[in-house]
Amino acid sequence: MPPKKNSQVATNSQLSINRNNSDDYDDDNDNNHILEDDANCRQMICASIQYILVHNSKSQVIKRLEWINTVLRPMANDGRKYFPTIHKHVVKILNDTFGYKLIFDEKHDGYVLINGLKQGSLEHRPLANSNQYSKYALLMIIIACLKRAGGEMTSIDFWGILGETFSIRNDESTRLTINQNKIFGDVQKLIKNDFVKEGYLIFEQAKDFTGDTPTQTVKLAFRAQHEFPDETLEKFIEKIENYEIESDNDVDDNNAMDEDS
Amino acid sequence: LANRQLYTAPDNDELEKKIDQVDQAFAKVKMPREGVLDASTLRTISNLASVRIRAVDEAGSLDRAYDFARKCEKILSKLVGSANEFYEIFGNFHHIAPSCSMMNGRLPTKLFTNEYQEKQKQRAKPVRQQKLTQEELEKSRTRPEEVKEFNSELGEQTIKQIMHIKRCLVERYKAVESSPIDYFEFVIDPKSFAKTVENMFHVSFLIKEGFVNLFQDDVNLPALEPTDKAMNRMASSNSATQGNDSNERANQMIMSITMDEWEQLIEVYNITEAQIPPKNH
Repeated sequence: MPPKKNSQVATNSQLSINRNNSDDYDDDNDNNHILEDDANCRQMICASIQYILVHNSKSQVIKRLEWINTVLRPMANDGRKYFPTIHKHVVKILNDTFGYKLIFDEKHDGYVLINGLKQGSLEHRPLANSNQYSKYALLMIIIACLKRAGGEMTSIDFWGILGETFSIRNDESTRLTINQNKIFGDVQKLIKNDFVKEGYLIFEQAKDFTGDTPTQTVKLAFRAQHEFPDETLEKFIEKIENYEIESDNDVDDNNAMDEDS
Repeated sequence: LANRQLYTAPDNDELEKKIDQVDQAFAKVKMPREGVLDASTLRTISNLASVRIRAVDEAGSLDRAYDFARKCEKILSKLVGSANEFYEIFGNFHHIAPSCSMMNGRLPTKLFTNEYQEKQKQRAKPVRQQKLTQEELEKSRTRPEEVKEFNSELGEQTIKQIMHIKRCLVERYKAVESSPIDYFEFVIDPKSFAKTVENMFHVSFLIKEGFVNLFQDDVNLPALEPTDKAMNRMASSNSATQGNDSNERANQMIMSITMDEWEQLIEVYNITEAQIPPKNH
């Protein structure tokens, strides 16, 4: 009977909110109580998890309102009222089952799925799709450079670094010439379009110091700050700097031989 | 812009030298515009100073970013698989949630059936209209209405008035021993110009329908004569053609009258009373 179910859910959600988060055993009991008693609520949780996992593959921010309108509203008349409870269960299930963290972005009113697992010493293979390795390689380099420069830099410096090292120019592709990089492909689309849409970079207009012409600033966006936390990024930079290249070793050997002679 | 890196470098004192130059230049400032330029320069210097202060911070440095990028480029150039191999080696530091590519088939939820149904609606084919048969086409065509009876155009009131005028004309014709009646004397109402025009309008219908003959009399003035049709007489068989000629004369007249002319006609004809009384009378 719908009214009773609503009141049951409301009572259970109030109970679960009032309890301590550290009391895991009681939380599990409450969760099981809710899941067993309210089949509709359980369906909504399952549908929400499916929705988040499928839309995460698009690498875009999962909007909160879209989640409510697409999943909860069609399944219940007062779907919006269930959202706090559903959200709590979804966060717990994603963490317990998959090791994912569902992090909220206030600026975009949406959620991002982050891998919360710590990789062990035997795990060396990354989890991205193999057809996106070059894209994420460029992303890692850009994010590390921005971090080294203090988290932001002007677009002139940004394109200057990329142009000097990887020959990546800030030119649009035209009908006659296609700006394709040998290593990373269509970098314009990747940097200006994909990375911005997916929440890794922000291109912000800022007034120039002379006050005449506006300049653009490149910053790290929400998703980059969570997918590349400071500790992990420092380890990545350290590994890069300690990575030995054969040519460097040959130069060192030659220098040593000269000194000996 | 070329000097920007010079001014923002932490180990360079070019900015301080520039401040001294600006201070010396300010001593010569006399006009407001020069003061504005000085203020703008001071703002630029303060912004560059803030950038230099941030660059001093150990966490951020453009040079360090350049060095890091150069090292990455060296690594990439040495790797056989280039960017793919680079990410395989260093991708462990990327906390990415993998996409659900292991799932097979469509997820059986209402979410996607709704989307599927919406897409189906958008792809719905337009319904073809059935071809009309020849009869239906003929019926649907717009045609002008055929006029079969003239009197159907007129209102009932007008027809009654016309018949009344016909009776008046016949009675008048009998009263003057079957001699033609002057047109103006018959239609003019000395008390109302509008009534005169109405009488002329109604008489024109009588002429058209063949109840009244219009002709020129001996003094070339228009005259009226009721026909056999108005008198309800049958034409004799002997003089059929002659009777037709005398009774049905194909004469036409275009008549116009103004109030001045109406008054003049009343005066000339010395009309004191209308020959067509009101219908109720």
